[in-house]
Amino acid sequence: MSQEHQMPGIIEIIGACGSLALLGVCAGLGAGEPALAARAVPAGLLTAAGAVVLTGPALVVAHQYQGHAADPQLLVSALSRGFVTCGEIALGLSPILLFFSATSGLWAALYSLFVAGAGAFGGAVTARRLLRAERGARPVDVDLTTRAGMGGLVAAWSTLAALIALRIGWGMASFVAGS
Amino acid sequence: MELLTIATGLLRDPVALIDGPDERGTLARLAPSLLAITVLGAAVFGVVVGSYRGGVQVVYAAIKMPALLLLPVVVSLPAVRALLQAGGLQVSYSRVALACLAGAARTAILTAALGPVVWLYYSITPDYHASVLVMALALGLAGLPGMATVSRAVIPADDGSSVAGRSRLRWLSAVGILLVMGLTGAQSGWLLRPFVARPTAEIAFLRPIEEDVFSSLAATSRSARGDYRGWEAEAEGLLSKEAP
Repeated sequence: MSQEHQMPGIIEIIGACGSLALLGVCAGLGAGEPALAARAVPAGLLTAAGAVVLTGPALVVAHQYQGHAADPQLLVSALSRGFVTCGEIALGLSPILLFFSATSGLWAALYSLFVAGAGAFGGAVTARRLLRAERGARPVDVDLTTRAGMGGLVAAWSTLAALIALRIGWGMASFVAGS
Repeated sequence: MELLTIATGLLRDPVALIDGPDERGTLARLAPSLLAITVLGAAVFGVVVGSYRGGVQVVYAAIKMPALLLLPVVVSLPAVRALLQAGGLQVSYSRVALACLAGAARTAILTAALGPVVWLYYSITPDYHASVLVMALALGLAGLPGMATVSRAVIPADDGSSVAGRSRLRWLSAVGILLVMGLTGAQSGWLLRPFVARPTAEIAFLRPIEEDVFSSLAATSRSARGDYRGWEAEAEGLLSKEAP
């Protein structure tokens, strides 16, 4: 497996989870109420991880069912790398969220925006890696329908992941608000 | 003399100014000059803005204006680097810091250049809310080239050799960087207010932490049109004294 398609290590995955939780801590500090703050901490992590865990198997199954060429391990690697990217961006955004939590009442709006932004970046990285993995694995003389099929699959997966993230995010927002 | 040379370089080609093989060395060499230019340029603009009220507000605004340009740099630095990495660009912290400092210094020079225009407007004693909007407009006008400098310095131009997916990710990175820097810049301005003090209000170095920049801009826009509702700001945020 080439360097680019290498699976992220367990430390990187744990680091991404920690970064998303840290973003939650920064948001929670702005919440004021300790109970509200405690509920805010895992919300971003659960939304991002939930979207990946719930859509990953469907992606692999559909990919194999359609007879595409890339190794399933490469698909899992692309998904993991997207999640790690999401964590890296969450880590970078944490100081900004802390700044806003300390100086304004915008913690909830920005927490949602930042989780969505980090997730969008993670999704984009995953989509690019999925397409590249497939391009590297299939024969050169493959027909146009097969090539378009992978693009369609990635688009469908992106849409499903976004919808599932929205649904989990909505549930998390209700959970944080305590309703 | 060196400050003038660097200032000229910042205006003509800021990316060429900070380019070099040894990024840490360039940062160490240029950072003091870039900081000095930022402080000087922003202080000039602060003097102009403070002149709306006059008195000690001139000094307060001149002290706070450089902080307005530098605070977003400090807060946004990790996010800028993370967004670049997500876009597939391996850029060192030194390079990102250099780019952000160059962007702030360029903005400071441009705000200083806009100072006479703002002063001319203030000299006809406009309404307070219109004065605030003109200051925000001037900062926005000068800030855009500054933020463009940051983007251009850390995101290399697409030479056509990169694959389409990567180029789209770079575009997404650039938008993300502009968004986080704009957001933190706006909130820093709100936090460090007042710059344009009301003619009748008591002069204070900083106001209490309350509400946020977006609610204030909406209220200011309404007030500039003669609708003075929506000014009842509530204390919010961890550092607010009245927060629970």
